[in-house]
Amino acid sequence: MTEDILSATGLVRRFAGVTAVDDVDLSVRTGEILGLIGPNGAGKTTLVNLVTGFDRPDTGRVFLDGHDITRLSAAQRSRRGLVRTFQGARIFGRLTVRENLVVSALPRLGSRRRAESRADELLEYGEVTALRMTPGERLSAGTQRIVGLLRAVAAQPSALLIDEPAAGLNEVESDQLSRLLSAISENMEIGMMIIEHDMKVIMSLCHRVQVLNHGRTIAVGSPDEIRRDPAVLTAYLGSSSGNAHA
Amino acid sequence: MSLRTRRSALTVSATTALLLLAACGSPGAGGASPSGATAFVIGYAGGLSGMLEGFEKPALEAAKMAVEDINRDGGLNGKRVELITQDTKSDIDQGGPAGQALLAKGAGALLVTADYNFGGGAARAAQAAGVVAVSVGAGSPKFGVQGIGPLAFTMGTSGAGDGALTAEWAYEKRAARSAYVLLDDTTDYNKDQCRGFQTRWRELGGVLAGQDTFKNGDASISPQITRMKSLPKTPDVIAFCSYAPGGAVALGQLRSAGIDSLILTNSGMDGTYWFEKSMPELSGVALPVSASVWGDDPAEEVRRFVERYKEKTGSQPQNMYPVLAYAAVQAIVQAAKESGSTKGADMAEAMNKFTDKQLLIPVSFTKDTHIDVRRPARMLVLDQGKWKTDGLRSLKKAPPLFAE
Amino acid sequence: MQYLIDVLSQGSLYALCALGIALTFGVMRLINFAHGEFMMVGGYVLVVAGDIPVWAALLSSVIIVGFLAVATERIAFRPVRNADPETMLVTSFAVSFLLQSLAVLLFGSLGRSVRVFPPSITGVMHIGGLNIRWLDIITVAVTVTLLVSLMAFMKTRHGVELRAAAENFTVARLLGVKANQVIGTAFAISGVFAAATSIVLAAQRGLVEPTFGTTTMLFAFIAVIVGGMGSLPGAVLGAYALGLISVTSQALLPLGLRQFRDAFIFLVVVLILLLRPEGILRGHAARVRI
Ligand SMILES: Nc1ncnc2c1ncn2[C@@H]1O[C@H](COP(=O)(O)OP(=O)(O)OP(=O)(O)O)[C@@H](O)[C@H]1O
Ligand SMILES: [Mg+2]
Repeated sequence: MTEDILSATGLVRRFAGVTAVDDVDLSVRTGEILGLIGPNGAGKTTLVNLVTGFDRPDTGRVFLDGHDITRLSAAQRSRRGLVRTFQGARIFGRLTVRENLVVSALPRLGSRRRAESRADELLEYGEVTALRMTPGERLSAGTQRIVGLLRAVAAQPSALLIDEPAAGLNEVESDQLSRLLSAISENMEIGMMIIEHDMKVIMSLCHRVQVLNHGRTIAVGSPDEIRRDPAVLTAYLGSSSGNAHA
Repeated sequence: MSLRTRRSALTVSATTALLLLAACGSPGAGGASPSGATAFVIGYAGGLSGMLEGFEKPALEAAKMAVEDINRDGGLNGKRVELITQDTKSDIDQGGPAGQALLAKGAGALLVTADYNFGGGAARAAQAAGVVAVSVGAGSPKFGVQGIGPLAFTMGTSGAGDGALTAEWAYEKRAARSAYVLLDDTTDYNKDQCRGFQTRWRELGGVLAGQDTFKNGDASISPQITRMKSLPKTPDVIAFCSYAPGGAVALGQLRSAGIDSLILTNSGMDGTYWFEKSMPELSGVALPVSASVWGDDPAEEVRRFVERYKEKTGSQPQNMYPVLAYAAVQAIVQAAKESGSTKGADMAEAMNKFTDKQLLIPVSFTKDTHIDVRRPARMLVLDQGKWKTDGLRSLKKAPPLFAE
Repeated sequence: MQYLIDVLSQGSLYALCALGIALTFGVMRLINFAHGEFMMVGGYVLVVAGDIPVWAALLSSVIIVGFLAVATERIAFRPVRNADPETMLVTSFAVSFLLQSLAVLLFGSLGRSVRVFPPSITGVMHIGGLNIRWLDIITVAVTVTLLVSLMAFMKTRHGVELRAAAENFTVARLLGVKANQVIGTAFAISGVFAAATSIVLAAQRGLVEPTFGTTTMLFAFIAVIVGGMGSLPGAVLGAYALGLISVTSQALLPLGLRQFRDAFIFLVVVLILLLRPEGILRGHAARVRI
């Protein structure tokens, strides 16, 4: 039986007027990819912020590998192996692709030499070895996204949260990214959570899917279960048709 | 002569920071509290901290000596003379408030910074209050009737006069015929000096080989040196209108570039502090002063004063400002004595009549001219790192005080 | 040709100073007005060092100023690290003022003369009609040496971390770059550059006074802005551009206009900024943070 690498219980976050996250539980196991979906404004980004320490919950707790990390800062959490990527790639434009990965690998590996060989490994993995000496700012948006992901992986996280990795990517790039994500999941001891609007990506990649609506979890299950869940259909239909009904 | 404004040096960082401290520091009024009707109070408004400190503190020491001496000799018609101080923190904008603070404490006359800009604020406050203000050595003719007002006087001499004097001296005593004019255009005094020099030099028939400008804050005057070096012949003299620190920097660079022309400058370059380590054997710099502090002033009183000053403070004065400050206190007290009044208008009236008035140095004013244009100058000449006095000189023909 | 040497020499001086400023701006978004005072302290170290051997004087200047820079960061800048830029700016003014006041207190406001290098290397060489000062050679050599060292450093572990932090401090921290360490490193290097600038400047000026570093620092600031805030290559480029502009305007402007030289320099700077608002090399400061 595998332990949850990352979990959260009873997370609540209220903003003036809205309860963006309302009593949400969450669990991710090592080797698993959890998809987080929901209509616009459902509270996905807020939830990721709460889990990664970019925002504080009003109530509820977050655990990493069984330890309560609710009170730790984002930087402290990332040092303990909880790493996120951002909606924009935010790689270092002035650093080469390889250096981007080296910076990330350094704290864990200590020596520069080991960080470099780790970076080279990952570059190969992501099929971007040819670009290793290119400054980040010269890459296309899609490649930047891939490098951003590799950089996060270079930190050897035990849990990785990925916010909208495929947004704005073309078909080819999106496929490349999906391949990379599943390869990472298969080959590393890592639990992943992905926010994504592209259902194709979610359904092909995720082992489990959690659906948020109005800050609440309305369904959790396998992609097939979710596809057929009436509550999910209502939520998506309601929001996409624009006339919400009780 | 004047302590040239150091506007370029006191740039953003210093001035803004000064304001910061001014906001939290307490007004530093020093000296004994005035005893009203029984004493005549002279207020000293100057930069007792900050960038002018090096000029003002020695001047204040000398003013104190003058007050002591006067009181020992019976004061002002039996009244004690007292000196109170107000620090302007070397900030132009603090001049006015400092003057007002002193006047509020009952000052019957003000001594102010030896510069038109830094001393002007306090002097204007005095003028407005009907009180006489004497600058320790501003070199601007505007420090008087034509500028601040009829109650403002300066112990200094004018830039135009100083420049003309060096022209006459170099032409006649050093048989110099070709000159280069190098102007640090950061102050009006410098411009006056170069203008006075050029006017007289032309009248005398000297050749002007070229001219150039620089700024006091310049770290390097290489382009100016390059231009000067392209002359077919090194000029005999360089009219060098600047002041330390920037002047010292530029002068050092001229010398290390191998330009050995005689340098004609002003009291802003007096002192040994700016070259003693960097160019210990420096020679060939000449400047006119109202008093030499290097032990060989022609006037015995000045030599004695300098000795006493050294004894009292334990340090060698670096320029004539202590001498001027001492004379300024004498002038104020003398004016009150002669007019039999401590009202500003009466004292000014008496000072207007000073003609070669024998104070520590001779002082002359007229109704229209509140800057001394008669005082004989001492030419200081730097020789192997030592300042030597090359006799007394009076101007044969004065250039116009104001640029037209 | 002679002017070209002047440009190189002056540009190098500005570059040394500008790099120190750009380094701390990069990691902290701090416009450190106390940088000129770091230089001033370096100058006074040389004054006090007096007759000890040149190398020892230079070394003590570098060590003391480097230490001072790091200490200043600890004591003054760390507490306001997350404050708004204005607060940091005011703090740097306060530090600058404090150091200047201290200098006035200890050494007086008149200034002290100083001889950095022995007379044998302060003279002029005549090579093919050119007058080359030893000092120009030293200035350029020091700049090139430090520039190459800095470039080499930037490839090392701490260098990569520094560059990452300079570009996006928040993300760098998330990736495990230690904020205190990287800022401390930036200040230490900045201090070394300040010391190097002060050595060249003291040799060139022969005089150290409380406002010793102010003018050079202001020009270096302009170089940093022209080059693109926070970009190190930009700072160097900006410095040489400024050297070129100031030497040529001094050399080419007719006498009557020469007194407006600085106004002219600023005019050119404004024109450059109008054409390229983010500087010659775009600095990342202009981009979005986070
Ligand atoms: N800082 C904030 N202050 C106030 N309200 C906020 C804040 N952040 C989010 N919200 C609100 O909380 C709700 C959830 O927002 P959130 O960004 O988490 O949704 P999301 O699921 O990520 O949406 P999207 O799919 O559009 O990215 C929204 O109603 C949003 O307006
Ligand atoms: Mg979102």
